[in-house]
Amino acid sequence: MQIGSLIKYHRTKQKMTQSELADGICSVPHLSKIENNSKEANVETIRLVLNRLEIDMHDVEESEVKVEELLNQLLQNMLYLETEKAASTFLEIQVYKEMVPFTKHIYLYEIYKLRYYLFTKDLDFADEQIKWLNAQRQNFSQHESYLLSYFSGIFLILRGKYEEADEKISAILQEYYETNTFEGEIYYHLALVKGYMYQSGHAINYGKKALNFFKDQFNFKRILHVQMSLAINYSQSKIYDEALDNYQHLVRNTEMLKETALLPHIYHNIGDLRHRMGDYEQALHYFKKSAVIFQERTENYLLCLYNLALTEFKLEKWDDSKISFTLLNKEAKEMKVSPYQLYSSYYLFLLNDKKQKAMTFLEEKILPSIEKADEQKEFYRYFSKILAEYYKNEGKYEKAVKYIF
Amino acid sequence: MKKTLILLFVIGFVSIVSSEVSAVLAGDPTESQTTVAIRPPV
Repeated sequence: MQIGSLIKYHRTKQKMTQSELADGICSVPHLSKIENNSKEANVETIRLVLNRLEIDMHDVEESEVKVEELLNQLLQNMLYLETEKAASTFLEIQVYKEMVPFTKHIYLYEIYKLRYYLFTKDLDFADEQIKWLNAQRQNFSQHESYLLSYFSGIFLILRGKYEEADEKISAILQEYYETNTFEGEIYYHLALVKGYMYQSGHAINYGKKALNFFKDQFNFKRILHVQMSLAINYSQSKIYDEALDNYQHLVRNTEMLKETALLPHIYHNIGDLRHRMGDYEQALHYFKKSAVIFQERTENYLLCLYNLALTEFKLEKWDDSKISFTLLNKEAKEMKVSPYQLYSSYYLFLLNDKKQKAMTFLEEKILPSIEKADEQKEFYRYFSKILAEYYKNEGKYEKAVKYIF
Repeated sequence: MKKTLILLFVIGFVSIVSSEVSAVLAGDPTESQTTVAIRPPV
């Protein structure tokens, strides 16, 4: 406990001068040294000063212990993805907010606050917090420094900057030996990042490592997330049997754990897997099953509508596809999500026999607008390939080569 | 002789470019129109 800083804080809060506070207890220079934490005062002096400020030392000590307990609790809540409990612990810590700067947990508190903003996806707050923490970094312990690097890596994932996130989080494994509590989480986040970067082999490897940690920690929600990541990466690597196997485990475990919010995601991804396997009828079945239970007005719902419409397109169910793309276009417009507006417009041109117009739209509108958007990278690849195919079939090889990704 | 060499070079170049395009676009011609999975939460 930084008792000197605590005294100074309460003295200035009570608009008291140093001489008023020191009067009859000690000299002003002595009090000044105590306030700057540059002198160890005797217990009696401290007791008298705190009495004059009406601060109970016992309360102060208890508060420090409580802050430590609450910070540990918040961390556990976040690691085990207990959203409501995390929110209530975070609120509880706010009660001690004024006390925290005088405890040894000052930086840990601010670092966990950053993790909480990432947990609740308040990215603007997280951004500000990272800037503030970086300015204080020279005062950090090695553990605090490592946490800041790691959480900054998670921030980069949420901002879609996967290469930078990969660099930051991979460096942690090399630079810090005691990752302890976070080791499973670090492997999990690396698995996510590698998956986004299409390095499925690495993603599977890190996913398996993460799974071992989460099993040891009985972290069932994270086990479900890892199984999802593994299934996606097996699917991307065309190891379809393993992918299917993982999805079957996932459905079973999700129902058993009553994690029903994850079900539309799983059905959707089984649709994606079936689509990749060329089993379009089954893909359509799962996309429809998913769309019915998905919460509307979310980006994942838009993605589900897009995949459903695309599968109908593949199955040459032209009228159904037109209805689905029109619905997607309307929903995306209302939600102001421009990529899905653009993608649905492209398919609606095709469905209305305007192929030339569709290709011009692809080349002039879609590709330039998503070229630099990290989170649309997958779509950029796909639409570039379509354009390359188109120009190849037209015999315009020079243009085709331009769009080979 | 010189003209033949240039002609051979041009034919070679065109076939390399063309085979590169075909290699990349090999397989299902509509393979590029694939679906996208939903990633698990961060």
